[in-house]
Amino acid sequence: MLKIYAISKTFFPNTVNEVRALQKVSLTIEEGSFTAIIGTNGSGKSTLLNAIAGTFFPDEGKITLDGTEIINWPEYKRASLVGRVFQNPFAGSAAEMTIAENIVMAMRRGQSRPLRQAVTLSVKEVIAERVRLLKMGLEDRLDNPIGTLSGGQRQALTLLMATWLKPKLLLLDEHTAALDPKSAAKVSELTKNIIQQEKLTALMVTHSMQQAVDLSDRIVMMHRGQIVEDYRDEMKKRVRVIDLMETFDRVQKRELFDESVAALLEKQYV
Amino acid sequence: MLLTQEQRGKYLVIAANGRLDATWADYFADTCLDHIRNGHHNLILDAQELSFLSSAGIRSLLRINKEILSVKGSFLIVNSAPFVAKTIEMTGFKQWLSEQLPEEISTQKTNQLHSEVEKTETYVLNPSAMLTLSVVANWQPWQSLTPDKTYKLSFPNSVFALGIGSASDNFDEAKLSFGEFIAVGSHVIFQPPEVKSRPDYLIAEMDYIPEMIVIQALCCQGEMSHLFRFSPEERILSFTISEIIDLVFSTTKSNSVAFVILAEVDGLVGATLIQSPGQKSEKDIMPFPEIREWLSFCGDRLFAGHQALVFGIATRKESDVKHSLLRPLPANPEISGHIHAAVFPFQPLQNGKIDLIKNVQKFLNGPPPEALLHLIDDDRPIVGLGQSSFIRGACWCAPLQNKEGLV
Repeated sequence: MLKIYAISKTFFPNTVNEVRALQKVSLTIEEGSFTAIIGTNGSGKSTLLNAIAGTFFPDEGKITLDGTEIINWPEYKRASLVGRVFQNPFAGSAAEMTIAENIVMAMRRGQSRPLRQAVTLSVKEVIAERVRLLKMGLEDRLDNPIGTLSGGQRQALTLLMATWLKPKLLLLDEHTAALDPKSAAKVSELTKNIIQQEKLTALMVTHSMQQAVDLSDRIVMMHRGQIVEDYRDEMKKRVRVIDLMETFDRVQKRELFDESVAALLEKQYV
Repeated sequence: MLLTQEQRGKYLVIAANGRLDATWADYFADTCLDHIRNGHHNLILDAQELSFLSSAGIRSLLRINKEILSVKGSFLIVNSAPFVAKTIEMTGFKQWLSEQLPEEISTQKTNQLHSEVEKTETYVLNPSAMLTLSVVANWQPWQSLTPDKTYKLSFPNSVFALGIGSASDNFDEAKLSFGEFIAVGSHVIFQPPEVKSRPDYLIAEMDYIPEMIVIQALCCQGEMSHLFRFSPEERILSFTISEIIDLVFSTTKSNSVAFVILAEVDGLVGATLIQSPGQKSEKDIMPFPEIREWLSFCGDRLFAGHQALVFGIATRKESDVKHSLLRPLPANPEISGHIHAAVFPFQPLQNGKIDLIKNVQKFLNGPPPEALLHLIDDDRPIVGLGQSSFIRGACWCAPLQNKEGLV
């Protein structure tokens, strides 16, 4: 279970470029739940994910994962508990290394990696068996550099690597946004299957409201560094893309309701 | 597929060149439906160059025919090749086929793609008809509410009303659900005051006459005296609400009027309650930003291409009818008014003289309303959204007979 208590982050404080990216955000993600975070550009959704991953330390607040306080842990230490898939399909793997070598690295995430041959025949068999489940024919190309694969294939492998050792938390940062529609659909389906089969706790940032509705069991909407809507349980079951659009619209309308509008309505709204 | 159009009198002749099959059916239907939307309700399909017609093509013809029937227009297919004619006959739509153009059709091309209706055309319904305006309840923002300030209002056929009310039948429930409403021809559309809710409606049926508990209501009783139709021309692409009100003043030759508009929207500007005023316990002014918890402002010109049912009351400065619920319109401060609009998905209106109540019923029997707004004239410098405006439609109106002010 992930618990976030009132975390805040301000970039470039006390300058003209000050951005209050997170404003006392609190969120509890139950074990085994798949939560999608949606929001406009600059709403703070990726910043929240980065705060959880340890890319930076928040200015204030607490984060606990399975009861362990991790707020002061550096990113590499959190990686032992947190699996992560990035938007850029080339970011989660080493292009020059083979598929098998990349996966072997993921198989030992958070553990010691002594100097000895890692890709043995028996390991390769285990890898081939899991890679076959992707149904992309990659099990026959384990010795090819991963950089020779398409974005969709590479992202599917990154997803497999991030979940090879069941992470306490899986973070998906717009992980299908840079893929063509067909590959995005394939990776979305894989995501759903892996999370369901492994009963993972996952947090996904996405711009695709359809993806949020189809994949997740909870949708959190952010705006200006705050959570403005939280669709869960029965609410989540009946929410449709059009409802999310309307909520976005409402949030933005509220933003446009300034003092000049208040003065206008005072004169005309009776 | 190549489509060319030619206006000939009241008919629009569409010549189709190519195959009307699954690839082109939607394009063909959408083009024709656009023409219907633009007021061309008598279509002739010249099928001389139509080389093929599939079931998908027949389906598109059915869509067009259905839309035309809803506005009491006409649809004919002329010059069909034998294969096309045979397909239409075998599928049971022989009535569309004609061997020749209608006798009354103009022999020459008339104005380019011009609607068959003029910019405005006026019909006198009952020259002596008038409406009596009464202020049934007079809640002013943000007074506290008690049962004695409410009124139970029923809506028989002769009542046109707008204001703030609730469909609940007792004050305790109603105080949580007061929102804007509009009532035309014993049909009431009301907006529950919640951020996420959509408008609801009450339709008169058999012995049932809708009722509401109202806290604010401007209620007109009587019948409409005039109907005028408006549609764009080359230089006028849309009509602002104050331009329509000016037309109402000149049509009725009165300085105080009530009107109902059914029209295609160019853009609406308005506000809606998002919390019931009944939940506010004290009388005070509503400062910013607290007011954002009570009212939602549109933030943009909304609902272009939708159809709106509008009811409003307007008076000129020199009129005897004055009330604090009638506020000056910034676009023309000589005019004071109060206007509500209910928004529906687009449905075409029949051309010419049409019946108000039947058309309101038609709208309420179709897809449900999407919004209800208290229209606002946003005159803020630079960022102002301006007035609500409409593209084409019908306006029923009548003078108010409140010679000695309000009753």
